[in-house]
Amino acid sequence: MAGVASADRLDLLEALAALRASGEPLVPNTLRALADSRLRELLERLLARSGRVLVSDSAGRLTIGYDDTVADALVARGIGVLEPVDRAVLCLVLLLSVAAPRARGQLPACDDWSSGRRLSSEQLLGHFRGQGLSRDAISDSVTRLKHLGLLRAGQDIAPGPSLARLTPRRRSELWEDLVLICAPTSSRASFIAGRRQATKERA
Amino acid sequence: MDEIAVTLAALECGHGPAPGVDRPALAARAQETGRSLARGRDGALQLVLDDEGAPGWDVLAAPVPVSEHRLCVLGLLLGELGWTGQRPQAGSGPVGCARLAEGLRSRGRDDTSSLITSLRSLAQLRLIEYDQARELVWIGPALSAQPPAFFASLANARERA
Repeated sequence: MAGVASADRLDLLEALAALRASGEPLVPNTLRALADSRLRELLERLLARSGRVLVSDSAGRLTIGYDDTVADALVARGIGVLEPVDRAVLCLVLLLSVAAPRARGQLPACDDWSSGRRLSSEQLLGHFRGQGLSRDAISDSVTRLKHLGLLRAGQDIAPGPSLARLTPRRRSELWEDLVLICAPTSSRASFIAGRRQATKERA
Repeated sequence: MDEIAVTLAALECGHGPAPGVDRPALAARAQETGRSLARGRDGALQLVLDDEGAPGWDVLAAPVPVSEHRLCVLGLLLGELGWTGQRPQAGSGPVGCARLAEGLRSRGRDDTSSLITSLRSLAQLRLIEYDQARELVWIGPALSAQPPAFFASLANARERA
């Protein structure tokens, strides 16, 4: 951070530490480096050099996520990728807790995945019945996802604060993934699949 | 592709750098955001906050106020895990809340509701992972990434308790 005044540097480091440590997104006016546009621009440049970006939720609160290009590189190297059973459990939770209620108008129409309807363990287990996953395997998966913040801590099952760190592109891809899973023969699914294939061919 | 940025991001996911990465450049980039490279207990390289990374900002001070009680709870948790002053590993545990309550009682702090309040606050800061239903506590990712000065103040708090 050559040329950054020491007072500014302190504000920047304070904001970085708070953004990393806080489990929930922060209200911008609680920290000078988030509230001041000049400092915020500096902060975003610093984050970019670590492969991170500022992410805003539907209420304008801020957290940090991974830059999309960097995240693509990590995934290509198998880093930070969930195990298949954890992906299956998380997918079902997001479907039951967020996607379906939102489609029915029971949740606000936004792209926030980190808040949704609470489910009981029995509700979740019931949906996996006969799918070849044991009760223990699902329970262990739920514990792992809670440690990662992808599910909330506590007895019930609900999407966790780590999902607030998804970039806008990642949030919309999640919606698209669920469409591909739940309605694979729909025209929307065909459109999504076709567009992804075209992107892959251009790369 | 900025390989240093990707490597730093991978470190944040707990994955060490590939052989041949420019270590000085990586360390310099980490320092821009108040962090340095350190070896964890398993010998793997990890990113940690250096003392400048938390300048006058005791992590316990934001977004919730500092409390001696929270320092005491953290000290008890680390004590139950056999802490000897080194950087603890995220995910270590669990420790039952009953053991923490017993530790507080032996220090004349017999107040269950204060313990739960402190545990909730510490969990919010990700210093601990807290399962309230099962009354279990683990070391959180934010605690394992604290600067050396933090553990020094924690050790002092334990001696005072």
